[in-house]
Amino acid sequence: MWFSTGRRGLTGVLGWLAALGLLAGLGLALGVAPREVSQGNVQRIMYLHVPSILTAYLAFAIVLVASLGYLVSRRQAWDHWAGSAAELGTVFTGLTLASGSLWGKPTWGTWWTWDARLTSTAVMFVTYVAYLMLRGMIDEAERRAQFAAVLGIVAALNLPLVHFSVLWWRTLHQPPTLLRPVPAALAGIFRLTLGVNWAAFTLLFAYLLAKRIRVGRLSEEGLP
Amino acid sequence: MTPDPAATPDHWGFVVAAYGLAAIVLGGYWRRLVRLEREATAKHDRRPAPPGTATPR
Amino acid sequence: MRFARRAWILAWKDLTIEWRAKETLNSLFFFALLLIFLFQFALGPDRERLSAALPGLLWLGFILSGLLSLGRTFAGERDNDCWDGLRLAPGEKSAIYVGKLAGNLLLMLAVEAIFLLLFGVFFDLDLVAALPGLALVVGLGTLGLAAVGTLFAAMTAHVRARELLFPVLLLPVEVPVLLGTVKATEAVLLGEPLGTVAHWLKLLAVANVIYLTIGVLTFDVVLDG
Repeated sequence: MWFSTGRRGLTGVLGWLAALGLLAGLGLALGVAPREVSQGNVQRIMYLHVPSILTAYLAFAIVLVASLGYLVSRRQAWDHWAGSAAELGTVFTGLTLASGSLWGKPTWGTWWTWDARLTSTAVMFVTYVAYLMLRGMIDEAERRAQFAAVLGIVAALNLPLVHFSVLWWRTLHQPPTLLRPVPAALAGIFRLTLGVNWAAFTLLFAYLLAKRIRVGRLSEEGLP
Repeated sequence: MTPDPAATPDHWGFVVAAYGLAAIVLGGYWRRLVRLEREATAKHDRRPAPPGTATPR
Repeated sequence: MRFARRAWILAWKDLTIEWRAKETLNSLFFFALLLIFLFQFALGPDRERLSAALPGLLWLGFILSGLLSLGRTFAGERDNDCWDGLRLAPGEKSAIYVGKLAGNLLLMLAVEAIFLLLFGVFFDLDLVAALPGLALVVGLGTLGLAAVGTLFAAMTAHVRARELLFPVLLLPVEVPVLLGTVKATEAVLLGEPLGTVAHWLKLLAVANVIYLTIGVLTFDVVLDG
């Protein structure tokens, strides 16, 4: 995987696109989108909260693929992708939890509740914090890449188990459902606002990821 | 659009807090990356090139 | 089958060492007793509150003692400079994983049996009726703990701050196992038929398959690091 000067140009473009997207998303979220009937204006936090968690899922999917890629090919580039994506994924997950909490206090009256989604997200958060800690405690690049790859695969394959176990744990005596019920369709403008913000977050993620990978690559000694 | 008579209280403070936090966290992370990239590039450029061994992988 | 024989030899070696010294076993038995006291003191004399918490406390006890015993999986090799011997041993490295896993399983099950006994005595539990269901749940849960724990123990064996990193890595991964086993144990202790918690048992089984597969496939990576 090459990161030539051409790539730096691409990174810059991503950055500008992300900035534009975020501006547009913000305008839609705070201004154009109408006030939601049942929740009031607090609902606008969702335009930040949902794209955040979706971006985190994307990041952790990349961690899984990159971890597998590293174990199969042993090329260090995969490890840069894995570590960078994990770091970003953790940041976005933290943001998801914080924004969720800020939404929850006015809506449910409490900063935290152990409902299925929040709990699963919290478990995902601590899982990848642990992953980052492992990476932080190994100094040799190759060993770090190998161990992180194994942990990355365990963590990723564990996520569905976490999802279902927490879901069933919360729905006590009801029969377990395989899939959550599909939420009611959103009106057009809500969907548009959410979509634009999601796209903006994805662009931001791509931009930050490219930068983070470059930093990681430059920091490792003796790499081409 | 007529204002909702049974209005749910607006909690703009929370909305601002959420977006503000996101801006601070993401902005701070971005600035950290920019700084690290600058430092890493400087260190990389200062390194003497290995003698005649620019073998691409 | 050479693989099975290798795994068996390794497990036998570890168990023999343990049986002769009995260090780990005795300490863990005693630790179990101390935890019982801890639970009693933490949750106070309120019998109802304690009984409601029993399945959870049982598994907290299993996990805490499991962390201790799993964390020490490779302590012998590390302290006695035998790590390279392990790495250079001929044949499939995953046989080492299976052998170590078997040893860990037996050790953990022994400690858990003592735990159950102590629980029965101190908290006045009738375990006899629940025994078959309990055995199944404890077996599935312990395998889930040991399968990942053995892998992570090898991974952290030579990492800085391993005594801290090992639990930090293992606990988030074990959340599904903890949830599943506590719910299933609850049902079993209440005398409910196993069918009511079939979904949990299936989850535990699936988890075990996933963990064992990853363990077998990646153990050589972790050993060579």
